[in-house]
Amino acid sequence: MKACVSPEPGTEPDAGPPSRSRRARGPRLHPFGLRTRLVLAFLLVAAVGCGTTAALTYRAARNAILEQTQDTAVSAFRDQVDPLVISLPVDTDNLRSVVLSIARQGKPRPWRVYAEYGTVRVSSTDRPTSSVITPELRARAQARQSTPHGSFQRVVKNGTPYLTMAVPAVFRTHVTEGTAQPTGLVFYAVMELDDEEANIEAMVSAARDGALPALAVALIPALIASRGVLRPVRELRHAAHSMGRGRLDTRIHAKGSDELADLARTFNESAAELERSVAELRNAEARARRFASDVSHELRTPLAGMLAVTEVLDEDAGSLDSDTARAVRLISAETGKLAVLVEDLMEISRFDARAAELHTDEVDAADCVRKTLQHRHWTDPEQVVPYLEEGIRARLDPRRFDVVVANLVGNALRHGAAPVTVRLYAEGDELVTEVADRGPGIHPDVLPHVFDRFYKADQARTRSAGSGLGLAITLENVRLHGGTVLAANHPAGGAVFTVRMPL
Amino acid sequence: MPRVLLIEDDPSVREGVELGLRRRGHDVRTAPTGEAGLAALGEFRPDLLLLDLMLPGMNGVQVCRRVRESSQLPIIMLTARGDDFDVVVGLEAGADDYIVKPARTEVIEARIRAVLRRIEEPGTGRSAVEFHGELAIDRAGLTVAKAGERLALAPSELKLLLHLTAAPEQVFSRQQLLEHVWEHSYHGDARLVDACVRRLRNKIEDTPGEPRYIQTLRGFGYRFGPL
Amino acid sequence: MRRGTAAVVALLGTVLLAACGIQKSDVVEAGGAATVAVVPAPEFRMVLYFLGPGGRPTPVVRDVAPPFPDSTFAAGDSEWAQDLKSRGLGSGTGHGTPGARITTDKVLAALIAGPAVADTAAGLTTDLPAPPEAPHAEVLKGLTPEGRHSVRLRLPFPVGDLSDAAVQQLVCTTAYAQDGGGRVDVSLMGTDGPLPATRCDT
Repeated sequence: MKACVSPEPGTEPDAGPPSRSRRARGPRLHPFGLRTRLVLAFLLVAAVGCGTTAALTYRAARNAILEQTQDTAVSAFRDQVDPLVISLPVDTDNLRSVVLSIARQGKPRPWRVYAEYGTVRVSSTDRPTSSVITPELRARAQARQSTPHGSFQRVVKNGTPYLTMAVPAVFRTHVTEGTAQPTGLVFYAVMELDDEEANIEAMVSAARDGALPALAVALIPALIASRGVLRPVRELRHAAHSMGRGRLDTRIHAKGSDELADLARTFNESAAELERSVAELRNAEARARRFASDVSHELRTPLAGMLAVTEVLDEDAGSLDSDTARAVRLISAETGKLAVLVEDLMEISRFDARAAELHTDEVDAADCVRKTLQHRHWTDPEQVVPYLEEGIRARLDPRRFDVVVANLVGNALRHGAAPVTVRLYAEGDELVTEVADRGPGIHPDVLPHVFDRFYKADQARTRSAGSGLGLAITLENVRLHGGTVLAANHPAGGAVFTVRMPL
Repeated sequence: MPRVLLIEDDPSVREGVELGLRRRGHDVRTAPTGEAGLAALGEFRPDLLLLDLMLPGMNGVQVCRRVRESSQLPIIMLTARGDDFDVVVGLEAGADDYIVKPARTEVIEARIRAVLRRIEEPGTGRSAVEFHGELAIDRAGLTVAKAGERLALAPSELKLLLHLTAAPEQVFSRQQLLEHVWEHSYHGDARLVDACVRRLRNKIEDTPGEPRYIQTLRGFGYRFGPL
Repeated sequence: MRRGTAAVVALLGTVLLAACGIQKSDVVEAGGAATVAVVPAPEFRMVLYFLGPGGRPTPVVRDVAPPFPDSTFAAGDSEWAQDLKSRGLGSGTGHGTPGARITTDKVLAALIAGPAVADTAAGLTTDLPAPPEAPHAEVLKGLTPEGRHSVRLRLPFPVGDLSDAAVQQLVCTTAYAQDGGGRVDVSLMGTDGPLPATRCDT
């Protein structure tokens, strides 16, 4: 923050520790995760397989059972009718005894036998005819066609399946060459299919009882397969997570030749590439930083000598001729500034090298700020107005906190306008230090860069009164405390810097 | 004016500091190495030793230890900020204060004066000896004895003990002690106090791990007693 | 995926449910009819067609001048048939023989006479008028292109108003009286003119 222009609400610069608040994630539960889907797919395939097989087997078996029963029954029925000798028109009493005799021969199971001729209805039961014999069957049996057929039909009545059969009786019109002519007499037989139904029911329950254990058994390969797929996936996730946390040397054990192994190998290659690139970048950065650090180290020793003698120059300048005196004073003054700059550079280098140490102590925060202001002689209430909440005990590094407050107040005095207010208060478990000035505020374009090193808001201004590192050092010091610093513009005008540090 | 022995290997610093201090009236003798400095010690008999920590051959910390073996000469270390570990080792070795390079002569001189102050102005003349437990403190004679045996205390140790015993059972924060004993700013390096307290305890406490005389109040500071 | 799963499950369920238990079926033909023996044997009977319920032509078998009192044999016995034929008593074995034609006229006379008591008891009726004269069947010379004989039936009543069932009664009775296999085309000639040649439908 070198020049403050128009008042605008502020944005937070890159302050505070990187807010990558990743929680350590354990194995999470996905309601429709890969495992669930794999297992479901397996079960589905198993279910479809079992179901289809069972259904097809069942159908085939059922049809076989029914066909067997039907064919046996029809053929047995016909065999019973075949040897009959009748007169036309039929003799009812004779027919009744015939029907009863056929009824006794029921094969494969008992049947009820009916005979119909003209209006004559004869049956082996109490009732002359049966309600399960459908008109279709009758029509088919009585149809006048060149070759009459026996026929059957399955009828379900009141939940009971019946097999109804019709065999029309034909007779030869001539001993040798006669065609078969319908006699008009039709025999019907009705047989219950409850045994077959029981058999079929048994098959259904057998299929079901077989399918459920099969599904349960299918769970095992499903789980094994899903494990086989998920373990590499989980490894990949852990590895990616670990890479994300900066452990670039993470590699996956890639074995096998499947797609997942390919993926793992690709991951490893990418990780190696990434690690190499990052290492290069880091080396370059480290070289740059070491260079800055080395330069300032090298500058420090001659400066130590020079700074020790600036007083001598200042004292004796008065006795020199004016040009020499100006030159000597200039050297003296610039040596002082150079010393500050080098000292700031060294400080920044230490932050970059993570060599900065925090020497915390429990102090009275208000005392701490007051001493900072006193020490810098910022005691004029027209310049700096402190509003300090008394009695806050804070654990901080007094020297670094002094640097923070001094830099912010010094910055406000340099770039803003007096009076500068310094507020100190506790909010929750944070110590808040607020430095506000009455200047024009910070231009929104500048706001994101105020904590940058040597950032020049106004390119025309080549050098500011400070080292150009003051706010960068402030930011680093606050971060070292685990706190944040925020630059913003107050709605009423002026820049506001807010430092929050844990108590 | 105090006689100052400066041990510093870098010629420009050595010369600059010597020049600055001499201009302010100090009698300055310089040595480029620790060995040369130790040799000059007996002959020059300085009031104070300005000791660079980074020396070729025998380093500053070793010189510091060697000096403390035989004398309670005030020692101020010259160091660069960031050499934190060296500062701690130097303080443990018995240095009374340290100055961060580069420093203006006025800063160096102020520090020298601060370290020498009590020792140059020995009390008000009354030779009242205070007794605190086994400790006998002679404020006028600037001597401390434990169970009748005189203790060799470095200047900063003596000043700290005198400051604490002047108000027994009163708690001093480390910042207060920095301001009053070392004449540092409030925000100075509290490790000075801690190192000094450790050294002092080693000399006056029966069991330094369970201090009786100089007690710590965690989060507040130190106090003398109650016994 | 879930929609697909639901579809598959639904399909599977439908297949399983629809296939459960014994379902009713349509009428299925299975094998031939039963061939029963009708007494008396073909040599000693005539076949008349009356109408059953619903107007269906239904055959009725009558004895023809039983030469043997015991006529309750099984029919179709070739030994018997040969035996009977050698005595010149075959009814439908030949055509153009004087006995056969006479027999056909006799049969037609019996048909015109209407159902007997036993027939009526079995619910059989006739749709033919009862004229005083019997119809006369004459065999036409030559064969039809399909190799069938033709018989013209002269009827003593008009044929234009006859129902189809009545026509079938006449045609079937004539056909089987004339030929054992019934392979005869019959044309009716009534008092009001002829009807086209017809066959017995069964």
